[in-house]
Amino acid sequence: MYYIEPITMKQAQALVEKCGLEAPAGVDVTLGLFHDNDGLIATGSLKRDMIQGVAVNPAFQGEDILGKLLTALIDQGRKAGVSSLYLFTKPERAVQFQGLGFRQIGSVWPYAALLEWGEEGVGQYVEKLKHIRQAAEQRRRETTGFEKLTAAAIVMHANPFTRGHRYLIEQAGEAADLLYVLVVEEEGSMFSYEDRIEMVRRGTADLSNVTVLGGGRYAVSALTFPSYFTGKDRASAAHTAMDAELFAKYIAPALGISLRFVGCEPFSPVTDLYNRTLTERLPKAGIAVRELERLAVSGTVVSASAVRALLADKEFDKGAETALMEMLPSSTVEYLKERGLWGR
Amino acid sequence: MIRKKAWAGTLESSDIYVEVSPAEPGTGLELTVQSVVYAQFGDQIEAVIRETLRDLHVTDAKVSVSDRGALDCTIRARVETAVRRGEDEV
Repeated sequence: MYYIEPITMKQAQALVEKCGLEAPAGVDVTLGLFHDNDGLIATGSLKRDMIQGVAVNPAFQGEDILGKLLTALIDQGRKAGVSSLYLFTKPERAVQFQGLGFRQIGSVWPYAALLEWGEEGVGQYVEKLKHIRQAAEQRRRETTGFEKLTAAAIVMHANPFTRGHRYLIEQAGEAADLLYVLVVEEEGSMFSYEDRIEMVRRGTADLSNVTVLGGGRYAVSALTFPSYFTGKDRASAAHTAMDAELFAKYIAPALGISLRFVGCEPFSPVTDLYNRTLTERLPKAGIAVRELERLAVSGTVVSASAVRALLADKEFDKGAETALMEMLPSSTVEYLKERGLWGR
Repeated sequence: MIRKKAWAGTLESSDIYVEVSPAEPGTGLELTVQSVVYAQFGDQIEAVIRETLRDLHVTDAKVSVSDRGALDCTIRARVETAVRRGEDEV
């Protein structure tokens, strides 16, 4: 008899690693599938709406273990109120999951394939984007009288929204009739998504060709960080490649984007790799990529991480306030004060 | 009448996983079928599901299934269970 029960990641680790994967961290639940005399033969974990660390003992492959395991994981997700699930796997394994009804939404050889399960998928996100586009184009046509409109996009975290972001948006906005600013929806940083997108909205309210929207699950989200199944050195390459794929395949066509902007990155190797991947992959899909210089104030590049450090500093003094005022637009300062986030 | 999201079945071989969710009255049935044998049996699977729903007097619902080669009787049983759960009867 087969039976399934929750186990710890520690119990699952050996099997996960035996299958060439890295044990995922911070999962909500890990299930183990056991067989009477053979002990643990398969495992899989759920982290919010992401299925991770799916491993089946090779000796039992082909015995429909995956179907049993995935059913249990989907049921587990349902009980937690999640109706759409996502799964990252190696491209050559994707077909096994497709046979179970998972839809492949992206595949980047040799790194990864991304599959989803449930009603709400990328199709609905694309529909939402099309509505946003329609409204944005209509507004723009009314002011410009242009029939044909060019559109560009920039993706930002805006954690929080700085003069540097504003500067990028102003430059990008000059290059197209419409500029879509996609705000990363992932939570877990200093400012919530709601706060961040509101700061972007207020900070760009005077720019008539700018449309601010959420990036959903498909633009730079935890979903696109599959670091657990590739080696550490390839993790970022897999992530950036999948992000480029989803942008080119779904976001850009839905919004009519032909130009993508990125801020140049002198410091972070991950962001630098991200920019390079986009520069390499997006033009193949007919989307030009342009790198923008970042804004420097008093000889220093304005960075959101410097802003966060100042805001988090216990000794929040006049000096810190002056430095913040230099880096933040008044709309952000006002918002932070309004929300009680200024000078904790 | 389907009042809430519900599901039945498994993704195992020879079984079918059925999900039902409510739809506005008058919108009819929205059926999504995914199957390993869709090319050969897609139409038949759909027909069995529609017939079962009709027998259960379900006129408005979203129904999506992942089939792994289930027999008609299995399909009927899974659809009926999902519908009963969605109607709050089980």
